[in-house]
Amino acid sequence: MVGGSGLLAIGAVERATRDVDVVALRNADGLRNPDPLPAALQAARERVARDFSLPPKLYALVDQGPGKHEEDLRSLGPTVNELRAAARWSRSQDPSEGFEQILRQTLSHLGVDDVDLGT
Amino acid sequence: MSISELKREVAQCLRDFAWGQWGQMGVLAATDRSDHWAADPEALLLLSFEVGRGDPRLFDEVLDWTVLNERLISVQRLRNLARDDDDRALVEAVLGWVARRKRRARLTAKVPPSASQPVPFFRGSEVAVTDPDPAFLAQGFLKPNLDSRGRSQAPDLRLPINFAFRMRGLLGVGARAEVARVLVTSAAPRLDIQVVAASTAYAKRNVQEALNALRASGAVRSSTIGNEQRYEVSPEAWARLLAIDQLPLHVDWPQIFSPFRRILRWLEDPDNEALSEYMRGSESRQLLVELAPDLRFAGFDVDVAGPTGADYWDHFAATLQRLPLP
Repeated sequence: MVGGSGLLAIGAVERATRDVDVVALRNADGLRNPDPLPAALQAARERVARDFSLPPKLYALVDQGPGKHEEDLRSLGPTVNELRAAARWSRSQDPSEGFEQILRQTLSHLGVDDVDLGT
Repeated sequence: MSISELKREVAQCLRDFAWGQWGQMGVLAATDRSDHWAADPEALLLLSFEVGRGDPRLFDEVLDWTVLNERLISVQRLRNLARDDDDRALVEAVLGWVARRKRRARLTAKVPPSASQPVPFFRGSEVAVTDPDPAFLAQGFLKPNLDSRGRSQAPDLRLPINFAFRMRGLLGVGARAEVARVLVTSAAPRLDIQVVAASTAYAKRNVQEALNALRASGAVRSSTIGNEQRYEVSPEAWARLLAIDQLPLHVDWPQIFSPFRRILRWLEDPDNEALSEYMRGSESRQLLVELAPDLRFAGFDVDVAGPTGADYWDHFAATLQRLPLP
């Protein structure tokens, strides 16, 4: 883990972070690609998303790129309005320009172009 | 509200309820209750086994009743109602205990003995168990080896609460009696087989056979609505047959008692006392999500959404306090 969540994990800070950046997983052979995350971590992620009413799929898609998250999101069949609402929430979680840019690209990829992200 | 405060409240409520029910069913207990519903004997037994772990006198009186009235009890149904390993261990421990006093093939344990280190059966007990009961020990419990007190009586079949025993007297201990009980007491005019199976805790195949037999005898009617067969009875005809002015009420006890057993175990688990506030909220949410289908089947309006994060705990506690255990 890197960033604030990494500092939190080693006890260097106590402040909660908005996200957890996992860049690698360590096993007996060394470091490996963290995608896919172990089932237990995926379950924990889904539970936290549920407990805090996070729309996890769109956020995960923007945050971690296409692949399984896109499949999962499409399988849910969200309406345009649901995607707009999820986009506004996702934007509120990460106000950075970089995140907004990827969020707009992702929405466009999903067929939603006219979203007011409050910026 | 802390977990221990909620635990005390829920456990006391369940103990009072169990004593009040058994007091009308033949256990030596004073009660001023006069309930108008039909009890579900096996569901109440299973609940009482769990609740009795916090009330040794209740547990021993229920054991006493069970050994006296074992012919009125469906062992198969008791086993069907066991939802998890904790339930199964309780059922097999009690059946093993009864089997040592009444030699019956149907009471033979179906679950292999526990391989784990035995734990005290009664919660909070600090008394060393020097002579553990072998039937309980086989299921991993240390319980004092006490004999039946012989103080219980047979249920008074005139009371509405004992309606299930009346149906068993009429139709025998088995699926037919339970199917008839549910159909006769249900407020719904007709029921489909899934609902009857869930309410009776028998497999659909057994319920279908029972319904076919009752229909062939003219005691039950069926009609097809859409693709589904619905079953109904004439409550008036059954009331005349049984010489009852008012038929007792139906309550889906298995779907009420199973959640309460899990809630009680969760509240009793010392590991949960050590959870962070967020994890306590998360775990209680998970529990309520898992229990909601049963509670909704039983007619309770359960809102699983609630507030986010740690605040969910207060929602969970408030939901439990609103659950109308009658």
